[in-house]
Amino acid sequence: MATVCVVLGISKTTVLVSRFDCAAIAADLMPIRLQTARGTDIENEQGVEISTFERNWMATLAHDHPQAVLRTSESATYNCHGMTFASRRTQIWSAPAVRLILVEDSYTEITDVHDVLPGDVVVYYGNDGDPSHSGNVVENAPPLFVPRIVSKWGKGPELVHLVWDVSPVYGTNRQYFRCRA
Amino acid sequence: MSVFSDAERDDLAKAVVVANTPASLGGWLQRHPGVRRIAESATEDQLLDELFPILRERDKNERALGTAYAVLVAIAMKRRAQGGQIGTAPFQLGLLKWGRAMWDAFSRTTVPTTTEVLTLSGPTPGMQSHTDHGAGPVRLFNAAGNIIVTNQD
Repeated sequence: MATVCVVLGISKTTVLVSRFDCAAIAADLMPIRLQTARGTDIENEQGVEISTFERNWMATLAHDHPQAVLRTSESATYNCHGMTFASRRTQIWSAPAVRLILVEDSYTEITDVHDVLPGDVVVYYGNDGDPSHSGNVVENAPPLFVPRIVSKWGKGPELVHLVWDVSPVYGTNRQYFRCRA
Repeated sequence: MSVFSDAERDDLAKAVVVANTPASLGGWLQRHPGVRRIAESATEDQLLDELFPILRERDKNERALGTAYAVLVAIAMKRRAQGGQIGTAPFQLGLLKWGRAMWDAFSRTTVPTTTEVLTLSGPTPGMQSHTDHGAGPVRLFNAAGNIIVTNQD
């Protein structure tokens, strides 16, 4: 008697849906009109509140990242993607929105780090491929070519830091992009 | 008493503060040792007992949010480990700002599998191989002597 095992794999695709189910949450958030270069609306929201815990956490950043330079104070108005892609006007936290911006604003990937220039954009990716963090390249000098980045960490301040010197929440995968619109 | 230690709750709270997207927070929580521990050791009822008091709070601080998201991820990991889809969330996801996005991200990355065992009656097929004087193609024959595979090299 022969026994055969068959394993069938079926992947499921689910579309992200709006998270504004709770009126109490939505009351503190304010979206603005934000579009890509091709006119597609980008989901966003401006925050308004910095908590005590957040202020205490920010006070530890200089100790935890001694090589980084704090460029600004904290702000709930915008996050990293809002700094990189929306001129510091609002928060963009939707991963599909960031991917859409990269396409519709005509960003192209810079595959060789030696070719990365100030003004280019770095996007950090989680293991699942979602963009977890982003920032602007401000320096990429020989001989080491370790780009220096300006990025904003959550509601925290903007920091000038080496590309690898970020919170572990953001992961270690990253790509560089240049807008050619 | 919380399923997390004080140090772990602080750690989770910092992740909530620094995270820019639900996906990055969810991904990090999946790798957090405390979340992995409770996903393996606690029952879903115990996890919900941890979660519901937080959901009832109108103003959730970062430690509460960190714990809530960690429990959400632990429930999803637990269900995924049991096989199949993670299904419907056992609470109203809208009570957490990133709850639905994180749960949906888990749904997308969960690949359900089914296993089916087929039992064949009759004798087990036999197989033998031949080469002609050590050269030429290798052929595989079934028990009836019919060629079923020929190596062209």
